[in-house]
Amino acid sequence: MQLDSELLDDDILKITLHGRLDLEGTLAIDLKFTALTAVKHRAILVDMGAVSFLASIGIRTLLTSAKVASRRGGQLVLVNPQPMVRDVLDRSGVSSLIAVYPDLGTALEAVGAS
Amino acid sequence: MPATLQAKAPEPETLQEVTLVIENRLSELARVERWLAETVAAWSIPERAAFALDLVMNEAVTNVVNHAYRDTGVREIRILLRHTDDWVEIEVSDDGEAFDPFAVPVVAAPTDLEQASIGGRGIHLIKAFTDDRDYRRVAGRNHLRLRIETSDPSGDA
Repeated sequence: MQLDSELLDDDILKITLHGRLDLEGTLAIDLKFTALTAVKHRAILVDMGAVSFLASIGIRTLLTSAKVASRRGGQLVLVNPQPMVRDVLDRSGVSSLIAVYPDLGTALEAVGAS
Repeated sequence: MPATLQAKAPEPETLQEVTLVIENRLSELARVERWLAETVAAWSIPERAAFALDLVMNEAVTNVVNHAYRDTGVREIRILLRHTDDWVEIEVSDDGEAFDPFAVPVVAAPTDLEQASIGGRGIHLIKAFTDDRDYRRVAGRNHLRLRIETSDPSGDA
């Protein structure tokens, strides 16, 4: 499991996750992900394109950070999940709590990037 | 189809089965995942069913390790995988406290992030990603059986 982050224009943070968000993978990125998302940004885009698996432990980390971002007046959104990961987001009810966008362009537009 | 073939008794289904025994600690999950990946590859399980199996196995084993035992002793959890041409099944058994995950009442999921609970999605995911499931308590052991159909219901090959 690997995590990269990049600060885009307009105070938008993009975090890219690679690998499996199972127990081992989630524990590997949890501290860094939580620290990055605890800093206030206008929006945080989490690129899920390279995430091949998602279990409830990974959902827990995503929801915790989304709540923190929302309380601070920002928002955390998910971008480009693979079809089966998208299925987990839908069937767990997460996609009705956190916005999910098919690609980066749509996500940037939705969070109001100029 | 010729009458001689119609009269013939149906072929018995080929059932293949493998078992893995692990200890009750979460660090065993990585070993379970490797075993599962090798088995589904050897059995040529379709990708979507393999993903569902991976998911429900993760949730079921995590639940047992986290909730089944009151003491801290080392215990054995048995994981059995079996499949036919039509389905693949996982059965997790443990000698922990009796617990029927399907007897837990279903609560309506909030649609507001602030109200939503962070955890507790494992059992819901198990239900959502299996086609058939049951829980039995037999001779002091919990048995959780989860089945996923591998045949494409829309396709007619």
